[in-house]
Amino acid sequence: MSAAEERQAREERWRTSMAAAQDGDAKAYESLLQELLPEIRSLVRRRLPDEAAVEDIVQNTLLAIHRSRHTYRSERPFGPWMRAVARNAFLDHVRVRSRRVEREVPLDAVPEPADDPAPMLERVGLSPELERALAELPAIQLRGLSVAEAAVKAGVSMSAVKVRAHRGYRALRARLEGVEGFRDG
Amino acid sequence: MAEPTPTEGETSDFVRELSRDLSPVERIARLRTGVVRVLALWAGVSLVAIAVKGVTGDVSDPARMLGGFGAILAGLSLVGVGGLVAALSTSVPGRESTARVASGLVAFGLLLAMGLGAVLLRADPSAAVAGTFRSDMMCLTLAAIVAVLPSLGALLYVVRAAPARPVPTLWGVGLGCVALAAFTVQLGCMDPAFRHLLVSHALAPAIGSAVFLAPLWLGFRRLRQA
Repeated sequence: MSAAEERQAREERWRTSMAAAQDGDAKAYESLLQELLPEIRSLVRRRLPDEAAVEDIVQNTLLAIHRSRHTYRSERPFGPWMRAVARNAFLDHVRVRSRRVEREVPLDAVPEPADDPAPMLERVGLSPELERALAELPAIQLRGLSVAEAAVKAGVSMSAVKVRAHRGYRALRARLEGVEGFRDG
Repeated sequence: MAEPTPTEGETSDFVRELSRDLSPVERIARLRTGVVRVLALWAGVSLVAIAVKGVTGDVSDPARMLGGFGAILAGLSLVGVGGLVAALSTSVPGRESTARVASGLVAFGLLLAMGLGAVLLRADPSAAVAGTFRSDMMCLTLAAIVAVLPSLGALLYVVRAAPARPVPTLWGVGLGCVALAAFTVQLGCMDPAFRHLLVSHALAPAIGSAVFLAPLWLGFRRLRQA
């Protein structure tokens, strides 16, 4: 099979898989996204020398594909649609990054959430203050979800979940510092 | 401190998560269908406006139609259709080339309406009369009224789609719809003054798109959240 024929066959496969995904076929969607991963990675690497940020942009691109999958029309080729989504996701990433780069303090690792924090909170007697502080937090709630689950639920990449969680912990700490009985650590 | 970066393995988990509980989606209408729907809305409102206001005799006057009056009409139609197509196509991934062609039409239309239109009107003796502020405001207001429904139609399409940069897209919606509305208004406008035709007709899309941007943006945000 020549390279052109191979490209055409791949395009046809993508087109069919996306049409099936639009009808709710999760299996076709997962295999399509897995097949797109190397393509998206190479697109991102061509534009970005920073290897560390590649997976983050790849995830943002996957999210963008997921959110705009209804805009794909199966009578049109899939490749240009996917590349346009990837380009837009990349530009979004660059814009957001340049805006936040100076004020962001990221997190290296997010601790696993406690199975049930309620008994511990009752024990230390901080429940009302903590609840109030938690209610005021803009951070997303992990609530026993994995980072990947939380990311999909919140519509952001996994590193964005980690950064938000870190922001939440910092904000919570700041709010609780004035509460009597609060012990650091 | 380095920013946390996901690994390739985590991205695979992310893909599995995206695919889990996948629900069917309603595909967006074709770009062509979206444009035709907005044009149909504009045509409907225009018919009502023309029925109420009538048509100026300039439309059947070959000298006026081949002069500045006609150049502005032609320019407005290009800006209208071009702006609308550009706006709707920038909200659909993969239609960037269509948007580029349509943007070219807009540029050409603006040149025709404001450049050639102004030059030809300068040489037109029937345009050498003083226009009134009242008629300026009347035409601009009527253009805004005629543009409301088509703008809403275009906004609904853009909200359903996935615009990469909503502000320029919405600006294009305003530009296109107000240009189409200004076209309709000019068909019924009885004021032949040079200044009036230039400010209230040829420049109407630029003025209108600036005025429409804030409400369109608010509508976009509200409908997106809903």
